[in-house]
Amino acid sequence: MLFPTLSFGLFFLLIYAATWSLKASNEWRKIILLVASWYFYGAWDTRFVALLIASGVLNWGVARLIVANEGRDRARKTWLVIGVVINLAILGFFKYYGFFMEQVEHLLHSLGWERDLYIMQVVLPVGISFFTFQGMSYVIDIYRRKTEAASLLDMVLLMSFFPHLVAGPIVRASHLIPQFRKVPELTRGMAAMGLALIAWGLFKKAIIASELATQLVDQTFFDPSAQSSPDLIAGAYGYAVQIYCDFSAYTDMAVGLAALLGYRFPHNFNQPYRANSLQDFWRRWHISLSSWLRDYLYVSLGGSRHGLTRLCLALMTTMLLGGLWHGASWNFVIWGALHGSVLAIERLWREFRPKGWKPLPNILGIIITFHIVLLGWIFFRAQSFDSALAFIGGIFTAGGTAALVTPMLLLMILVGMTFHYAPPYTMQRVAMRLRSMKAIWVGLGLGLFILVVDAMRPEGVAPFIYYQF
Amino acid sequence: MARKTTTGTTGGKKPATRKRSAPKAAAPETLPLDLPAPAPSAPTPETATQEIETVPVETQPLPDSLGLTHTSSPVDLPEPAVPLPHDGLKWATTVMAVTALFLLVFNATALRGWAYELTPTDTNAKVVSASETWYDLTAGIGLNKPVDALHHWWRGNMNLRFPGQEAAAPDVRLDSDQPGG
Repeated sequence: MLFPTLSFGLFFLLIYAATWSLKASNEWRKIILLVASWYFYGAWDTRFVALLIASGVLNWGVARLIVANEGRDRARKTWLVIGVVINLAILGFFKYYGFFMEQVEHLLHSLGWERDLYIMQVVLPVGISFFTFQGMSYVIDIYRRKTEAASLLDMVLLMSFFPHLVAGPIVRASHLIPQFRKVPELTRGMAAMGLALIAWGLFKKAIIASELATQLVDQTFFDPSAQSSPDLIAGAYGYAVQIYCDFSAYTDMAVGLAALLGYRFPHNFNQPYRANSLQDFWRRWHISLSSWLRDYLYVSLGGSRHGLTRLCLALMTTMLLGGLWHGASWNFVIWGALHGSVLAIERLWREFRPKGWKPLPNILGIIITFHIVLLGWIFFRAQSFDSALAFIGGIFTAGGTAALVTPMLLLMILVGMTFHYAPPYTMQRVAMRLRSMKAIWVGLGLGLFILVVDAMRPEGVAPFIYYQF
Repeated sequence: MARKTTTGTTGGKKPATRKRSAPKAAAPETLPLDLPAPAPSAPTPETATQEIETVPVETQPLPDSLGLTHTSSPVDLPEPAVPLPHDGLKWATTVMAVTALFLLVFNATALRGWAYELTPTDTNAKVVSASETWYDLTAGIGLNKPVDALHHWWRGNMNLRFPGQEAAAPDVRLDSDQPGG
């Protein structure tokens, strides 16, 4: 069930009506939300609802055992390790088993082994990377005494809550559990911002991301060797805009839907292509993941506590594993390695920049950073390493004239880029205007906006890019 | 103990004391992935928890002329100068009801398309039949014309080509009377 569909719209209206009519009982309200979330998840594959529930119960149980062993550090640490290992085992089996076995098979073949290995076909549960990370962060936060233990209902709902279930943002227990403990209140401001975010996300996904994907990006990445240089260049820029409009649209809608149910989700994007360094980019792109990686991986690897060499190694390892988090593919590893290397180089440059050398002008920093990110996206999107190399090579050698890129697609790429240069808090300003208007006018305006988007969107709705992670 | 974050909209100074013409850029939502080394005077963190807690909190911008500043969630808005009625739920419900009604009247095509995509069952056959009836009714009085005209205009623009490029393939949705088309 995808957000920008009528089926989801009807589902949401039903849940909205049910939860707010049960305002008197917070427990029943949460039970309704939990059952609705399972139904939402089961729409993809009912088998994995059990996995979702089991994962929630497991993390709740491990956290309770850590709390119960307060004062016994060794026991607390043992339960932490058990919790993290089980989470990683679940993630590893579903996400990396096939990749790992294929690598073993390649290795055996290269050593002369001629028989094929039996490799099970494992179906990847939607959103497993997100809810597993959420569960792990809860267990680690409990161990670090950074959050309070949650009830079973709150914990399972935290992991299952449908707005963030399949593609984030990764909402931590310390952010959402306190909100679950009381009946939420819906203010005009929250409602206006929620509706504005949903409408804006719909526009970005249904028009810009979908048009660019179907008319340009999918074709250029499908067979780069058959495309001309202008089409490949447009395809690369197009993908940068597509992935931003697609993923940030999902986040906007998730934040908006949660707001209409009375819950506040954290930020996940902040005009990322405006970054003037890669470090700055990671403060603006998929913020909930980058802060997760920082707090639970980078810091655990030593962070900045053991000198510059360890810091660079920690950065590199964090980004390599961050790349692998997206999926079992060498291309994601290369993408992570590229980001890790540049982050380390930036850090070394800041440390050893000769005195008297001025920092790069801001605009130059933005252009260089964007093109490093763009290079990374080519590996991220390409079907294989060879395909990525063919794509990059084709940009410089294919020549020819544009066959795929059209005036409107070019305009969409430009429009997608200009979103990054809108004044700060633009959406908040819109919401502040809306909240003081009469509901009937806002309703008519919203209806008109959705009507226009529906008239302009291409046929069908493609799944969000991050659903596969 | 949770890591320090800023919440709410209060800053160190009152909004009225700030210049109105220069709202500052939004601060990053999180601390950098690449953590800065601790200041020389600060003790070197020994543990992961200490490191997270000793990382300096970034300077947050003061509220701009509208009171907008960095918050922990995008849905946190500053309090209005003139208090609004405490009727958020009623207001939001009315907005959604009006929107739904508006789309029901002017976008019966989408409803019909959705109905045809349902799994064929006896119950869903009734849904399809009802959506067809509703579509015929609204189309009969021309309520679907604005969205059709906009769709034709937009697809026409999408089919524009640079000089020398091959013409676009015909869009099946343009002249189609298929459900959902």
